[in-house]
Amino acid sequence: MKVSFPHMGYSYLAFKWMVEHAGHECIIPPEPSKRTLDLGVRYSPEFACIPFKMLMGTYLEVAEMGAEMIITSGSNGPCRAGLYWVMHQYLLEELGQSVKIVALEPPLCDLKDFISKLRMIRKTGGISTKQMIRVLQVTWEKVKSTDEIEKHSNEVRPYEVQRGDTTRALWQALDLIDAANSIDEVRLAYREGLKVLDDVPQDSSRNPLKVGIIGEIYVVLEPSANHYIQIMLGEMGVQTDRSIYLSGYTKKTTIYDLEGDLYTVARPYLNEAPIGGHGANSIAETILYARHGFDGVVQLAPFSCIPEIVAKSILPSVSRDHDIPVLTLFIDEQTGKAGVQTRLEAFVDLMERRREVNQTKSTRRLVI
Amino acid sequence: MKKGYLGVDVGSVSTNLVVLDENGGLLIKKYLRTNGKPIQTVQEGLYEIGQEIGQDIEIAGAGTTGSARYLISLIIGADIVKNEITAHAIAASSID
Repeated sequence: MKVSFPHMGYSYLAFKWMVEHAGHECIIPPEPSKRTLDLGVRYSPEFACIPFKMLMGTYLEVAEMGAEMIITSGSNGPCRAGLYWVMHQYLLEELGQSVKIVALEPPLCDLKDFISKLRMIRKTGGISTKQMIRVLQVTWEKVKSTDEIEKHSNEVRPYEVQRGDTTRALWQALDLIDAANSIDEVRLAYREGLKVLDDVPQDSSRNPLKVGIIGEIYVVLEPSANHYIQIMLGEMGVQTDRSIYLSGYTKKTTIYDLEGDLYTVARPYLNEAPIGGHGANSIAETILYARHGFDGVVQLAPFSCIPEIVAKSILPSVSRDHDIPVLTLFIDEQTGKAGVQTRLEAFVDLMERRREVNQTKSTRRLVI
Repeated sequence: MKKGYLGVDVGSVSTNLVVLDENGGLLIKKYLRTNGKPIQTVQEGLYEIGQEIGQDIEIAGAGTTGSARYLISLIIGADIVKNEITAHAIAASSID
């Protein structure tokens, strides 16, 4: 069958491999463009958030390219997004598209459904259970590696001597992972990819600002949804760290080790039960970034995202108490790149000035 | 030769030019409509300033801001390019 899936950052490389090795033909979702957004906006409810609209646009584009099945994720959380696939299916049917959406629900919520859907994918592809397990293992390895490579590129980019070198190296590294076909090959490709990134000519005398990116999962993960903010900031000489990666896995950042305690960290500000979405995460991660000495935090949210609106109203207290500047950017289909760039430039100026002032304060104390 | 410092704010609707003296005092200001022609408008503004300000002012530094800040910085050879939010903040914080 012709199978596709949503475009979430660079994860499409891993899922493409999975679909092909499960015996299907993969329709690779195109990187969301202005056309994708226009299509999605035209056929979505007006106040649906931008992830809904971008996914709608992507599904329509892959349907045009002949997709028969779209694999996505469901769930009853973290917010209403888990139920979007139902709406998307209705809209696609109304528009006369025959593509079927298969939503994988979280195994912990409905193990039977999860297994039966995986079995359906496996059987229609024509591979054995043993082969399917191996396919899933390699896919997972690829997801982890692409995340780590992307993370490393964001660490290198502020030091690059020539603008654009890091992004080109990132694509080279991703191509290496793309060509791998076993767990060992993926791990080898990952190590080679790290080398390609480290070989980018860098000016190590720079002292980049460090900014944490928090907010709603889709606009944080999908570069075309946030106007390529990490690349924009990286080219302004700022090192960015994202708290959300599809693999949810990283070795270096301590922030991840505290994942389970996020609600404890946020409790002083959020007495109630979790507010849904990534709201509690946004507050906890701001506090953690402040503790790790970051210079600022950028909150990204789709326009009309309630959990992030609640988090946004709490963040000024967090920002004051933990002495960390926070910039909130709400994104919808009318957000312009120039506006985002201008606000980011002003935010970077603010953080630089703040760092200068804090350094003069501390040197003054040392002199005495 | 007295020293002057030129600031140009080129936006989509209006273009503003000012020249300050060495003490930050205002020597001249100009408000023009951009009319979709940022380069031409800045050229006209600079010409008018040149006529009015007299020959004994030498521009020792120039800065640009506004949405066309990068384009105009290349045209006039600006020393600094800053977005309007920062420019506003710095100006406001330097008022005594």
